[in-house]
Amino acid sequence: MNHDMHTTTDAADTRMNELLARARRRAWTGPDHAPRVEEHLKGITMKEQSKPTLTRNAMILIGVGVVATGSLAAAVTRSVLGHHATIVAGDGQQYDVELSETADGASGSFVTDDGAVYDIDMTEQGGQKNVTVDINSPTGGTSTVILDNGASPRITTLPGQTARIEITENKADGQKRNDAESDGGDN
Amino acid sequence: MTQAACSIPTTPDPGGQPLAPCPDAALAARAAGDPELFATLYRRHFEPVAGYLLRRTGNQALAEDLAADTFLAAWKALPTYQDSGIPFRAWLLRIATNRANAVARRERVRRRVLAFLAPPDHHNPPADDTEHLYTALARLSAEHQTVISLVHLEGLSLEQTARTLGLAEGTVKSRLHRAREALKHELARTGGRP
Repeated sequence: MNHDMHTTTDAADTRMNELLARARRRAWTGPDHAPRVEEHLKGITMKEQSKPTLTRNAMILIGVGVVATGSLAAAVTRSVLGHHATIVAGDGQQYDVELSETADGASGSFVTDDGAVYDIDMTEQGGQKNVTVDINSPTGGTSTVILDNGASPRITTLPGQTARIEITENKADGQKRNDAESDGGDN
Repeated sequence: MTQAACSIPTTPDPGGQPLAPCPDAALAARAAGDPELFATLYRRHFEPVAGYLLRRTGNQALAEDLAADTFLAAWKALPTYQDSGIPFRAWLLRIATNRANAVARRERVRRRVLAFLAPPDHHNPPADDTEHLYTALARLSAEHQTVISLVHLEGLSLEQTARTLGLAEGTVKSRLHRAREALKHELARTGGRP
């Protein structure tokens, strides 16, 4: 009697599990979008067309929106290692920037909310690591690159200027040379 | 705290390797009020969410409609996402589940009214196994449908299900046990094979 009950329960469990497993294999074969959602988002986008769109156009999906007063004040880049760069904003928030591989290193771009563009280029040859950070800021401001040893070349730009910070690190003798220069209103 | 960010290549990548995609959390943190960023999340997650709703409801048209509702609700609720403390996909599944539950509750009421007006014909068994399962599932409470769907149809672990629903893992475990018993009962009751 008990044996029959268990058999029936087991069979019901098995049957239920089969049906659930079959339902689990059902894949979505419908449309890959919802017109209702897209129309809604499009409507909002059209309303906002008058707003600046530099960041959106660049498709940089996270910006240092916290950079003080819309400038580059106290925004820093540091620890450019391997294929990553960490940008530290004025309020201490950190953003991890992925760099894509190039023939002799890695590079990547980062655009802040106020339209400043950070172009990071890293090359490594014969133990010498060169990091260039080009900063193009429409609002002007100050930027700093901080190295592991604490060296921190700083550069100030006027609105529309392009700034460049270059760091050369030679692993062989441990010496580091830091340069900062402003391209002087060439935009 | 380090947050992930997106980058764009300044030089063509000779290896043709794609950039690492922007993590959901980084996108979601910036997408509130920005329809273009939200559209990236929407495109990334629409099909998985629609698939979940299809498996949950067994009805493609309904799933499509609920998926749209889910993303419109997510757009409105996006400023609160970070307070949820769960992955973005889980957050979407939570919204989708709430939407599906609302429909399930309405459907149960409708079925009870219809059953009162015209008792169901027990001599008309479900047409196939899929219909059999969804007929039985629809008779469960919304909460039981939810745990069955997330665990057995989505393949989430008990821990993932608990996080998605904002419940204790033990609660999910006991609820799942009761839901399975209820489903087994309904499968036997609604016809077809045992």
